[in-house]
Amino acid sequence: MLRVADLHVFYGPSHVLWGVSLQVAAGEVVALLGRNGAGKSTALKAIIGLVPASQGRVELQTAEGWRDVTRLPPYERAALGIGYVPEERRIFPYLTVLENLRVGLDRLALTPQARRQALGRAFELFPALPDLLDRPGRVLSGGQQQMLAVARVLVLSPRIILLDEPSQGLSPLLVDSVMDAVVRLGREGIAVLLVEQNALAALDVCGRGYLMDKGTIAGGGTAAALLADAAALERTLGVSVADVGPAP
Amino acid sequence: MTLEVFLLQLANGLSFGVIFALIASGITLMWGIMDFINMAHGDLYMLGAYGVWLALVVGVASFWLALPLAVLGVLAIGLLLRSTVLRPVFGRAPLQTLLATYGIGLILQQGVLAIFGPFSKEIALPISGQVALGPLRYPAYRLVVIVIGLALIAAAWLLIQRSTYGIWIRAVAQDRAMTAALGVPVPRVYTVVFGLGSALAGIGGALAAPLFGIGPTMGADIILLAFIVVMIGGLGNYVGSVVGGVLIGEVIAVGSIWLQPTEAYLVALGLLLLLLLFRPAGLLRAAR
Repeated sequence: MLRVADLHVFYGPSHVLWGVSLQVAAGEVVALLGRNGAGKSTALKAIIGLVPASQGRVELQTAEGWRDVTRLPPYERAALGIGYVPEERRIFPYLTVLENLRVGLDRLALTPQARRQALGRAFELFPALPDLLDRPGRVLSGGQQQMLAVARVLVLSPRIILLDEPSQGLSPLLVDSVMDAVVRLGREGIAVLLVEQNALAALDVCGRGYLMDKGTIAGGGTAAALLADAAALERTLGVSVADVGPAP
Repeated sequence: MTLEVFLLQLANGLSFGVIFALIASGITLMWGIMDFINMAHGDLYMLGAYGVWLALVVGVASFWLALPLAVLGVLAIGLLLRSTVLRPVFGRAPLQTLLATYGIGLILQQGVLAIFGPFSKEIALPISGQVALGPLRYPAYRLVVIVIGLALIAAAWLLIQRSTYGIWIRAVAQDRAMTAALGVPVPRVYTVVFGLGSALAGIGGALAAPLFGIGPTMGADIILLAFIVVMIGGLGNYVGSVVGGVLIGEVIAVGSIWLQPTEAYLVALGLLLLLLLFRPAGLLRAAR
């Protein structure tokens, strides 16, 4: 679904991504783990096109086969099926919940029926949203904003969703329900690339993971293998073996 | 001062104010949404006035036919500028867009001067006569300007509130990168904003033509006031620019009961200074 090869990104003079390569297959849920500042969020931004890549390639599998999107602006990448849910959620504060959903949805020029279906699919995953449609984005709680941020891309029927720190700032109960939503996205055949600080929660829902360190991919493997390799987890994430432990 | 004089100036202030608002709303949209400071915006207003005059000179039968033609002409010129000379400066630092558009404004003024000469043109009031408004007899054309101006301002507001492009315009103003990441073709949104702003300025100029006379520098004369209106209303705030436009119109019109016009202008500038001191974000700050 998504192939990233040797991606380099600079912020001004500082070189922040040093040749990131990763792949996500159709319907696969993959974790991208690493400490603060490892370059995880930057990698997602480079994939959607919000930061330019100085070198490397981003390829997306579309209905017409693989397509190199590295030089496309973000709105064309989104139109081809990349959904992006940023770390800060970035809900439009002065648009209502419905208008927040319409920003992307109106671009698709759907028939009224297809439009209802698209919204219905998002509301099925987040049943609390329909009651909030007239609220401005700025009054939503953190959990509601997170739901809206995911729903906002879900209505676009993306092929892959880039999900940046969805559990951040949420209560443990809400973290569970967000992770639950991630599992269900994968089940619906939508690929997910999930960036998380909370490595254990992420590996709980992902089949596979990459470890990022200092702007490059330091390792990777199946969730079980990553959880078993305590030394690598500790080295790249700073998670101690005691934290990992055997799953209950 | 009699009550009649006061009411008369109040109504005059509204007719000025509506024209200021038509110009300022375009400036505030371009500035607030695209970070694009368009110093040539006043010259689009000037072109609207010349457009009406030109259409009448070449034989268009009525002002009301000349007006939409002029507005279409200004819209075409605005979009042409956006897609050619202004294209490279979008997204640049404010100083660069400011200088580039200032230069384009000068070219437009000098172009008009070269083609039509330095003397101001006049066109007859398309509606003569007066209307009784309570104790007041008020020129019918000014009343029409107020009504048309307010109707167009309301229509543009509805467009921004309700339509897809309106949602996109507001989304871009709040978070441009996120809007793009959701698949919205941001450059096309810019084109719509630029076109809308150009058309509103053209309408302002066309409506103002029979009232204020037509000259190459009429846009440059009004642009400073229009920027004051934008600052009063709050940058990027459409409703604010309308409120600010009417407010400045009223300050100048009502002020001129007691003051010379230049003094009334000074009062308007003084009010801006006070406002910038106490409410630097404008009267209606965040209500985008």
